[in-house]
Amino acid sequence: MDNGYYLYAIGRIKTDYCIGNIGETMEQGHALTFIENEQLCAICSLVPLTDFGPEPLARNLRNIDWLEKAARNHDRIIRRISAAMTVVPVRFGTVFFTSDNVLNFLSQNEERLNTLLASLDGAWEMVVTLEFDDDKLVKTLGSSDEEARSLMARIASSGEGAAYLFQKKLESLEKVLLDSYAQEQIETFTTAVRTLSSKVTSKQIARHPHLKSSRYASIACLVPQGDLESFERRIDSLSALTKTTGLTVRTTGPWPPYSFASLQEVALRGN
Amino acid sequence: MSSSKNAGRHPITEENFTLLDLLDRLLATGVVVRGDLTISVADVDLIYIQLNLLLTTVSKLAQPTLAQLAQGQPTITNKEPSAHVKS
Repeated sequence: MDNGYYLYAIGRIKTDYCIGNIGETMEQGHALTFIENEQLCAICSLVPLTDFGPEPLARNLRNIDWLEKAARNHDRIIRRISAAMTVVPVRFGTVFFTSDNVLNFLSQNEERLNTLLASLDGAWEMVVTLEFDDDKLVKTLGSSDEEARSLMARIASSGEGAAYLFQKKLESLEKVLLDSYAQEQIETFTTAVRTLSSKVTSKQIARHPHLKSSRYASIACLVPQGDLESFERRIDSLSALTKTTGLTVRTTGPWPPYSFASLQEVALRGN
Repeated sequence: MSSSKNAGRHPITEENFTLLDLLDRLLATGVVVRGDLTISVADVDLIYIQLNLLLTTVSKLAQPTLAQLAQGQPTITNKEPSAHVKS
């Protein structure tokens, strides 16, 4: 077996897909292939398993240049397909060994995939990212907290031993203040986007040692195409209200609804 | 606040997203990824993603030490567990 089927998206069958010029696929020289089963089609292209087999893929993912080119290609192709038809966009690195595997997947998950497609009709993903810089935030939060101010005064006026204990107490308090502030902001933005979006999902990175910003949260929202501009305006105005040194709010999108189209969940539900 | 200000454009517009943002969407486990995922259907390997990835070129990330990588330090909290599925 030399090639596998790299899956980009799953849509409904059509007599003419009219996707137009897709440009380069994941592997040059291999055009898009539409594998149809009943009412569904899987949009794939052939890829060599020498690059996309489990071990080569794991190796390639460590090559930032390879990864960036492939990831941008993946996203570009799905955006072009999405312009022509509603699809379930598949995340990066999904490879089937044979076309029969693709057909089996479509056949075994037909009902769930049709339900998923219906939920994604005309909708895009918008992402609100909150980045918390603890070093900056702690100054703001500490100066407005009475207990923190009291501890700082005691540290300044105490001897070395007592000052050390007060310092430890202050550090514990600062952690509580930072955690509480981050959760409050995440909840504020999550609540706001729930009024604008039919589906919301979020994930958090807490105190990651490799991130400059001490913590990070991204909130993904499924938004109808007609509401994209009002969505961003609403987030802009909320960001202005919550503006604080040390908190950065960014909005990215529109994205294909990657966060709401998990094949893993489809397969798990079918298990 | 910074914003990409993209919503006014047609959704298929190819935006100049950062690699960090792009991979945060395209990879199920987020910005910094470690993990193994194999989903099998009908006893045939269907989807495999073996990711052990650290995006050291992304400006927000500092270079980890080899020792940190070797220890498999926890990276992110994630609501999508890795899975091995048979049906």
